[in-house]
Amino acid sequence: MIIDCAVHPVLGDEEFNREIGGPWNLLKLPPLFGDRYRAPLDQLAVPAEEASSPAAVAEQLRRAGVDYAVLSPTTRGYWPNPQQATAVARAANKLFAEKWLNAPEGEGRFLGSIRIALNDVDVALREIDRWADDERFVQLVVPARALGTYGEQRFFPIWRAAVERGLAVFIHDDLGTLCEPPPSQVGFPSHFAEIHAIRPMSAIVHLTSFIVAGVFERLPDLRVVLGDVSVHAARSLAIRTDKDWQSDRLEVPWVSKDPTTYLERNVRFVTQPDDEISPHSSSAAGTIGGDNSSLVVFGSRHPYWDGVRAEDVFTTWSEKDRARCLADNALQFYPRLAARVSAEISS
Amino acid sequence: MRYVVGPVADLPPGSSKVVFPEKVKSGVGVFNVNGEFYALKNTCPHMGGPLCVGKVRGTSAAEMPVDCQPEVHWVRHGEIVSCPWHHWEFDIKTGRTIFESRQKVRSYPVSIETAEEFERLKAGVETIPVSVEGATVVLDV
Repeated sequence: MIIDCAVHPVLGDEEFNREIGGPWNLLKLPPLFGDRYRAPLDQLAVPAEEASSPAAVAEQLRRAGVDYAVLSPTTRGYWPNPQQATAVARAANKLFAEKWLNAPEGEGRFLGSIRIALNDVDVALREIDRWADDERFVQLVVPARALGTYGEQRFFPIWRAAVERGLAVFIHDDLGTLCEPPPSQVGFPSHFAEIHAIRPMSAIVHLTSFIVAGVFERLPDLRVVLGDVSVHAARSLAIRTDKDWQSDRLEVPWVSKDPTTYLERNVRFVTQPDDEISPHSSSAAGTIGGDNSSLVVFGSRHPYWDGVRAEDVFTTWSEKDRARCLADNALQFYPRLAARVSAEISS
Repeated sequence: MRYVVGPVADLPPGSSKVVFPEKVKSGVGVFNVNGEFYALKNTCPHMGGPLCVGKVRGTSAAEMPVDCQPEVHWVRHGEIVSCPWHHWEFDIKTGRTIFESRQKVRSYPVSIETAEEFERLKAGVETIPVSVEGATVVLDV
């Protein structure tokens, strides 16, 4: 079985803007890949019309042998106007549900992500309620480039709602974003190649924030999927947090376990470009502090150009370890996926 | 082996002292926590730092209300010693770390002897020159 946890249906500008409605669609949508750092290449691996066609994406998944795909459209990051942000998230969910989840070509493969605007927690909770009864939505998706770290208390009700509704939380770097915080602690890099290389940073900041703020301590069943950081990169940073935890804990006494314990319990990592060449990927266990084969979920990142095929991930691992990455870990981690698959097997 | 630390009057509540019996080269810290005496080996199990010259203080504890952010409370003031090297915290009464770990610092029994008993013991114990008026702190190492 193959479960692809990172497929990105592109909502075409025209249809998306029509769905967003007035007066917000009087403004042009920002470009999908952002406008500050233009790539010296086409960032879509397929023609644009195929990236926004459910039939074409379904065909791609069928050819790749994918049984289930978790789809998450982008809503271009953080929108400063809260009413507009609400309209954009709702339009994305509606368009996605109608056009993609209901597409007959999906043949049951398509699973969805609920987009929420983070400007106002109450509005976000209402948007979750609007869609969460539909079991095909298996997760929330929030942008990695955020204006605050996700361990902050103001976001907590959203994570609690995710747990209550059996939804995972996917943190994804949307690239194109209206409000862009400086992408690094030293401000703005100069080139696309830099932006492309440092994408994991924001996810590492959120992960550390979740752990240290005690979100995983308070919500032991919260499931966070990180879309843009490899398990090796995250683990090396978390080990660094472990190192001085006997001393650092004084400020945050609610953290009752070593930081890496939470990483292993509450977080999974979508396969990354660095997995394909990293020496840490050659063995499933023991390279950076533990068993990585239980922490990675396969994501093709289709239709982006730096995506990966299932047969190319962790090629040196045993069949059993690869099977965990390609399907078993996702089945265990996404509560709704486990329920869906066991229901289908028994029916 | 018994080791005379000194007069009780020299170690008031909240104070501590590191002594160096023959048997324990790195020294032993003797602490008066609210009138009770405790002794820990002056070696941090983490990296071998001189634990007992560290700061004696309290520690933080969490309260997690369901409806708002976690709260921090300062608790057990005077019962915790933190190593001067990396600030690992140990419970003076047990030698255990505050944050869960398998590491533990060795502790020793401490007794308070009256002046008369002290005189009787004197012949058989290693002493340091102190003028003893009242009760004496004695360490078993």
